Amino acid sequence: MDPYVNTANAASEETIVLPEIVSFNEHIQPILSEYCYHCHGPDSGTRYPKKEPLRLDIEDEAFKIRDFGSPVIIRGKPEESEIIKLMHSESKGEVMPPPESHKVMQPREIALVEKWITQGAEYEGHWSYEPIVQSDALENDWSNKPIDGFVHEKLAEVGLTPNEPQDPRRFHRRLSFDLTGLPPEPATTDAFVEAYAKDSEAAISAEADQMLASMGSAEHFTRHWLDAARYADTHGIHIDNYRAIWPYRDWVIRAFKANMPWDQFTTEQIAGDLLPKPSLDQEIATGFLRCLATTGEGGAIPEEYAALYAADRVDTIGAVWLGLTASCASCHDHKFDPFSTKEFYQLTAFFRNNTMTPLDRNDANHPPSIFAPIPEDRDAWNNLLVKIKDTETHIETRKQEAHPDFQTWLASSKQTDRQETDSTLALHLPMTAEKGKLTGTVEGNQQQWPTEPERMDGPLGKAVVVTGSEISLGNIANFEREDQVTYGGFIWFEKNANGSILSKLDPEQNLRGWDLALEDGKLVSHVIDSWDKSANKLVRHRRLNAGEWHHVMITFDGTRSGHQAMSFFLNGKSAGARTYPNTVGGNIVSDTPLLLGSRVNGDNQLNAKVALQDFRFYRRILSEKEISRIANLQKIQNWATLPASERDEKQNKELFDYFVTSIDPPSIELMQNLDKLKKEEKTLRDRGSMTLVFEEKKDSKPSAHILIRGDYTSKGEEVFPETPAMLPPMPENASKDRHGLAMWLNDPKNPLPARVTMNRLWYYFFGTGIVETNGDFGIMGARPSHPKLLDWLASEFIDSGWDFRHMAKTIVMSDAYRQAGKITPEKLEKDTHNRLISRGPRTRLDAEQIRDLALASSNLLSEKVGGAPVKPYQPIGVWSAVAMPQSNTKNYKQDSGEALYRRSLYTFWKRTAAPPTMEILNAPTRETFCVGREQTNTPLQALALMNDPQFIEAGRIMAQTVIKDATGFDQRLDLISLRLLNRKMAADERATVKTTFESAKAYYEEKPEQARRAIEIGEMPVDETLSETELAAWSIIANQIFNLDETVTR
Amino acid sequence: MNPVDIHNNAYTRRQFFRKSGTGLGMAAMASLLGEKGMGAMESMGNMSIPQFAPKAKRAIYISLVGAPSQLETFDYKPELEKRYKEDLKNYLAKEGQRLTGMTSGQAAFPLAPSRFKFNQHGESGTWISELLPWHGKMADDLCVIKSMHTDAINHEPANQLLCTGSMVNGKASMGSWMSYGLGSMNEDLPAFVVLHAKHTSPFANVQAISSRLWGSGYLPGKYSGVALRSLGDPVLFLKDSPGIPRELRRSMLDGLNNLNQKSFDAVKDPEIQTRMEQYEMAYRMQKSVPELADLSGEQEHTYELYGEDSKTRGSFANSALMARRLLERGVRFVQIFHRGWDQHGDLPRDLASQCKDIDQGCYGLIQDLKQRGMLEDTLVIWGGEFGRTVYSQGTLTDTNYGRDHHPRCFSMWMAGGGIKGGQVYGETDELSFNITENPVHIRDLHATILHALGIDHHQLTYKFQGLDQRLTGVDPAKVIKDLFA
Repeated sequence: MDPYVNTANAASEETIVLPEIVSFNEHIQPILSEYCYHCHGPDSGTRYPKKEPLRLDIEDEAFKIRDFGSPVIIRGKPEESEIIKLMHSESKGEVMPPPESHKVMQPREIALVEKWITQGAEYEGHWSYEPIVQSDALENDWSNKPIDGFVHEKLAEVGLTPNEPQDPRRFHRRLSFDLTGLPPEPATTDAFVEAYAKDSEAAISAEADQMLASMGSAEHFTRHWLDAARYADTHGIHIDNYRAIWPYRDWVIRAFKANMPWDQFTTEQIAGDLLPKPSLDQEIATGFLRCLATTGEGGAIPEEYAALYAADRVDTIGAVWLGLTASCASCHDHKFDPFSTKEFYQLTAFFRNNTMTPLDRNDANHPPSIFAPIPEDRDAWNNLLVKIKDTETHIETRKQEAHPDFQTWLASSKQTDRQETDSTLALHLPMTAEKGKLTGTVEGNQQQWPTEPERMDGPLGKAVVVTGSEISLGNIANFEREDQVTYGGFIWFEKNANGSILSKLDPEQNLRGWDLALEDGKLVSHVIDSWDKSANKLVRHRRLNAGEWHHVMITFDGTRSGHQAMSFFLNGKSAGARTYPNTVGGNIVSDTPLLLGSRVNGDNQLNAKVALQDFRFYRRILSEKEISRIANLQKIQNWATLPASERDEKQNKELFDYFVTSIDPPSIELMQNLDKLKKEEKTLRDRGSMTLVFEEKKDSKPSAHILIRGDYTSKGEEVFPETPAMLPPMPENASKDRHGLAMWLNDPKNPLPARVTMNRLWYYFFGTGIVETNGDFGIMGARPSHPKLLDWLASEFIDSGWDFRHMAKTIVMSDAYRQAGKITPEKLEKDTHNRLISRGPRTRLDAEQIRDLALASSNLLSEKVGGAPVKPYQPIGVWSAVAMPQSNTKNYKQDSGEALYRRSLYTFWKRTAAPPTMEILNAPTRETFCVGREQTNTPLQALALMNDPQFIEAGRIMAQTVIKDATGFDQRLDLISLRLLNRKMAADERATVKTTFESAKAYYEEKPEQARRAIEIGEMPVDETLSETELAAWSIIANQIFNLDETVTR
Repeated sequence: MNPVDIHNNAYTRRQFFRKSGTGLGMAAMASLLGEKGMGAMESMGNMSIPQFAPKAKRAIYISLVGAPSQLETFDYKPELEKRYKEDLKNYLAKEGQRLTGMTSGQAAFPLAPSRFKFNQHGESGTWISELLPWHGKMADDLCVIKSMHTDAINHEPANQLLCTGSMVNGKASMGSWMSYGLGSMNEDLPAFVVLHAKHTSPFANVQAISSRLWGSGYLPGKYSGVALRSLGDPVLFLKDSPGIPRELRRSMLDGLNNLNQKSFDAVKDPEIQTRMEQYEMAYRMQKSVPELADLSGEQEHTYELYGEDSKTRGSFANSALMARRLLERGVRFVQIFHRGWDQHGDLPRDLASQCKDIDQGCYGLIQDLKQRGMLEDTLVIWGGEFGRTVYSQGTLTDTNYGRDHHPRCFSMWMAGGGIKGGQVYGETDELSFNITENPVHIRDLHATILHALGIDHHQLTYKFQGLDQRLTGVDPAKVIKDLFA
C-alpha cells in the first residue's frame, strides 16, 4: 500500500484525503480483499449468500444483475450501489462486512470505494499477474540512474528529499558486507576512499566489480540462497540424523562464483537430472529438491509423507520463484488468489514421479544419492576409476598367462623353503626350524638373532616357545597412525595364559606402541598413543581353546577413525572382536625394541607356555582371501608336494590362487598397484561426499490425486502436471515435467520469477523488499512500494540474460543505495520503515556476517572454501536437550583447529537445534524455506555478542595483534576501530573508551589471576610475550567496540 | 520496526495509533505498554480493550510429549476386563480407524484392559489410576477432561497442532500468543519461558521436539519462548565470560551506552535506543536469572511437597518448582516439556516409570501455588498430544502390552485459574474409542485457555500472509464455559 495514502488513512481524526484518481489495484482491491473476499471471493466453498453467491473479485461477476434487479455496483452512482448502502448500514443484520467477521471498515475506506464507483468502477487484473512493463524513469535533479528516478518520484510525492551520500569510509563497509558478507580490509578502504575522492562513480564501479568476482561474494550470496533452499545438514524430523548433501551447498557457491545465468541456475536445481546427458554438477544441483525436512519415524505413513513432501516442494518454489503462498490451496481453493485446489495438485504432480522413498530410514545417503568428488579431484577421480579397472583387467590377464610359471614353481617346490616376494612383508618369522638360533626376514633381509629358543610341534614344523625367551628383535615393525598394517601368526597357549606375546609398548611413554598379548586366555592387541586417553584395544572376548593351534591376524587401517581401524581374523576368517577404547590418534611410534614374551621393562611377562609360528607383519591391509591362504599355508604346502596325479581340481585351483597372490612377482606387483589405487580412491572418497539428488521414475508419468482438504486418505480426481491458469501457459515446446516447469519459470512472459527474484535481491540490500512480503505477491500480499522500479529491475534482469551479478551491481551503483543512513524526525514520521528509501539501509548485520566479522577482523578467518560442515564452539547441551537418544547428532563434538574459524555458512546445521548464536541472531531454523529473515533486537542477542567464546577469543586475538603492532593507547585503539568500524574514533569517543580501558587495567592489575582467566578463552594460544593485564584490558576494549550498534549494523 | 521502540521518546503517541491500526491486535497493545502501560492506555480514553475480566493472570502448561495413555490414567473402563483379548479387527474396520504404520500390519487387535487399578478420590470421587497416587490426593483441585480429540495421528504434527494450533509449520505457539497478547509482568524476565524436564527411564520411547513448538512463527521474535536449559547456563551466554567481573561488565556497558548514544545523536535511528535497552535488560537478566535459578532459599517443606527429585537439576519436580518461581516473578506463561510417553510396547513398565517422574511434582506444584495464594489466578494445564488405542500393539499377555496412537479421544486436566476443580468433563464409549459426550477439540482447548486469561480468541489476531492469524485458526472454536467455576 502506498505509505502516503496509509498515513492519511490512519490519522482518522484528520480530514479524509483521497487521491485524485482512485486505482483498483492500488486502493480498492486491498479493501475488497480485506473485507469482502472471504465470502465473495475465489473460494467457492465459502461463497455467500448460498442462494445467490456473489463474487466481487471478478469484474463480470460483480456487475451481474442480481435478483433485486440491478448489480451490486452501479458505475458512476455510488449512492445507488447496494454495496455502498450495506457498508453504511446501521443494522446488525444487514451491514457489510457482518459483525461475525470481526471486521469494521474505516470511513476513509468506504469513501475510497465510493469515489472509485463515481469514477466508473474500473477493474484491473492483480498487479503481479500482469505482464512486466518497463517504464521510463522520470527526470529529476538528483540522479539520472533509472533506479533513482523511481525512488525520487515516490519521495517527491511526500515531499521528502534523499539523504546526502554516506561518507565513503562507511559506505565502503556497507558495500563490502552487502556484496561479500565480510568487512573490508582497512587498507582497501583507504585505497577506495582515495579513488572515491577523484571519481566516486568509477571508484564504486571498480570496487563492486572486484568484490562481486570474489569467492567471498559467492559464499555470501550462497548463504542467502541456503535460507530459501531450506538447506541443513540433518534430515530434520524425528531422529534428525546427519544428511549428506553439502556438495549441493558447494555447487551453489560455484554457481554464484561463475555468475551462472539465473535461468540456468533455476533449471539445474529444478530439473538438472532431466537435461540431456546431465553432468555430475547438474545432478548435484537437484539437491535443491532434497533439502526439505524428511522423516524416518517408525509410525509415519509413507503415503502421507509423500504428499507432504510434494506440497513442501511446491510451497518452496511458490515462495522462491512465484511469490505464491501455494499451501493454502492444498486444502481449499485459495481464499484470495485465483489459484484452485486442483491447480495446486497439478503443481505437486510435477514432483510426484520420483524414486525417493518417503521415509528416509535415518540414512545420511537416503537414495537417490551419488558420490561427488570435490571439484579439484574430479579429473583425478575419473582417471583413477579407469586405472583401477585397467589394473583389474591386467591382473586377470596375468592370471591367464601365469600357468607355465605355476607349473615351474610346482616342480621346484618339493621342498618347503619358499621364497616370499611380497615387499610389504616387513617382518617375517617363519619359526619352523628344528632348533638353533631364531631366524627371519626384516624388510627383505635375512636376519638371525643370538638366542636359541625352546621348540615345540607346530602346524608348519617346530614352533618357537615364546615364554621366557625374551628375545629382543630390535627397533623394527614401527608404523604411524595413518598407516595400514596387518600382523599375526599361529599361536598356541596353555589355559589362562597371560602376558605379552610380542610387545613394542613403551612403559615410559604411557605405553606408546603396539602389541599382541593374552589376557587370561583372551587374545588382545593394543595400538596406543597414550593409554588410555588415546588408544585402541582390540579384545577377542570369546576365549580360544587352550592347547590348540590358532591362526590369528589383525589389521590396522590408520586411514579410518578409531573404532573402525582394527579388524580381527581367526583361522583365515573375519571374526568378532571389540575395540575399546577406540580413540587412538597422534603418535604411536615407540623407540623400544620389539620384544618376544614380555614388555621391555619385564612387565607383563607370560605366565604360562605360549608358542608362536609364522609371524608376519605386512605394511598393507591384507584381504580376507589372502589371510585365509596364510592360515592354510600348511595345507597348501602339503598339496604342492603331492604328485600332480594325486591332487584334485579344487586343490589345484587353490594352489594356483596361492601362487598368483603370494609367489608370482608380476601378479604381486599388479596387486600392490591396485592396493595403492584403492588407497587413493579412498582418499578422494573421504574428501568428497555422497550427496542426495532428485531422480525421475523412468517407467511412469507424473501425476497426483487431489487430496480432499489436504487429507492423504481422501483421494479425489487424478491430475497431471500443469501450471496455474492465471499465469501465462507453459511454453509450447515445454514438456509436462520438471524440465518444462523450469522452462516456464524462465519464460520471460511469466511475470513472477523475475519480479520475485529482484524483489528478494532488493531486500538483501535494503532489509525490506519493494514488496514487503518477499514470499507473497498474491492478492493478500503487500503491494509494491515502487511498482515501476520493481518492473524496471525485472525487465533489466531478463534483458541482461538473467545476469544476477549485473543486477547486484546496478543496485549498488544507485544513488538511492549510496545515501547516508541518518534519520530525521520528518523522515521517521513520513517514512518510518524506510519503505520509500528516503535514506540508506541501516539494518543489523545477519548472524553469519557478525560471526564472520569477528573472525575476519581478528585475522582468524579461514579462507578454505567448501567441504564437509564444521562444528565450531557451541555451548554444551544444545543438541542433547532436544535430540532422540539414537540420533547420531545427539552429542555435539566440537572440532578443533582451522574448523573453528571457517566462514559461518560452513557451520553444521542441525535442523531441530540450529547453531544457537545464529538462531539468537534471527537465522531461520531451515525447517521450511525462508525468503526473509526477521530482525529482532533482544537481550539474548546482547548476551551472545558479549559472551560467546567465539567473540571473546576473537577479541583477545585482536588485542594481541594491536598490542604488538602499535604502541600507545590511541594507535592501538585506531587499529581496533579501523578493523571493526572502518574509521578512527573522535576525541570524545576516545575519552569514553579510555575510561573503560583504565578501569579494566586497574582491575586486572589488582587481580592478575582474573586477567589470566580472561585471556585463556579459546583454542588459540596466548601470546606469552605480552603483559597479561594489558592483554586482558585490550580484550575488553575489543569486546566493547565489537558490541557497538555501529559495528553490528550495516 | 520492533514494537519495543514504542517506549522510545522518538516515537509519538499518534504514530503509536497508526502502527496499531495497521497490524497489531488490540490486546497486543497492552503488552507493548506492559502492566504500567495498561493503566496509561485506559486513560487514553478513546481506546477500549475488548477484553473481559480475566480469571487467570498466568498459566503453566505441562506437555507430556509422546502421549500418555488415557486408559491407565483417567479414563476408567472397568467393563473391559470381561473383554480381555477380544479381537477388535472387525470393529476397527467398521469404525474406519486410521492405523499408523506401526500397527497397520497387525493380524489381530486384541483388546487390552488396563493392568492398573483405579480408585475414587476426594469429595468429588474422581476415578484416578494407581499410577498417579499424588494426583489422587488433589482430585478435588482437578478438572479432568476425558473428551479431548485431535486431528493428527503422529507425534510431530500432533504436537504442532497442540502447541501452535496448526499441523503446518511456521505458526505461532500458544505461549508466544500469550506473550504477544498479555505482555510481561516483570521487566527483568521474558514473558514466555520453556523448561525441558528430563525423564528418568532409559527405556522410554522419546520423541524429538524443536523450537517450533515454542517459537513465535509469524509473530515478532521477541514473543517466542525462551528455553531455560537444564545443562550449562539456564540462558545461553548469561554468565559473563571468565575473568570479566560484574563491575567491569558495568563499566564496559557504560562506555558502550555512551558510544551508542553518540551514534544515536548522529543518526537518530530508534533501533539504537532499543539496542541500548536490550543490553540493559541483558545486564538485569544476568542478575535476575541466576537468582531465579538459585533454589537455596526454598524451604525444606517446599521440597517435601514436590518430592525428593525436586532437588535434582532438570528433573520434572525441579522444573515444576522452577515454573512456580518463574510465575511468582511475573512470567506469563511457562511450558514444561517432559518426553518419553510413547508406550507402543512394555507399557506397564514404562508408563509406570513416566508417571512416577511427574506425579508428585504436579501435586507439589498445585499445592505450592495454593499455599501461596497463586492457584486462583494461575491456570495449570496437563496433557499429551493424543490418546492411545484400547487394543494392544504387539502381543498381549497377562502382564505386558503396548498401545498405538489414538487421536479420537484422550484425557487432560486443568486446575486453578477459575477452573472448577473436582469435576470430570466429557465422556467416552465403553472402549474409550469414541467420545460420547462433550467433545473438546484442540481448538476449543485453545479458546478456553485464552478465555481463562481474559482474551477472546477471535480478537487475538496478527496479520500474516494476508490473513488475520489466530491461535484457533479459521475453523470454529468454542470456549468450554462449563469448566469454569
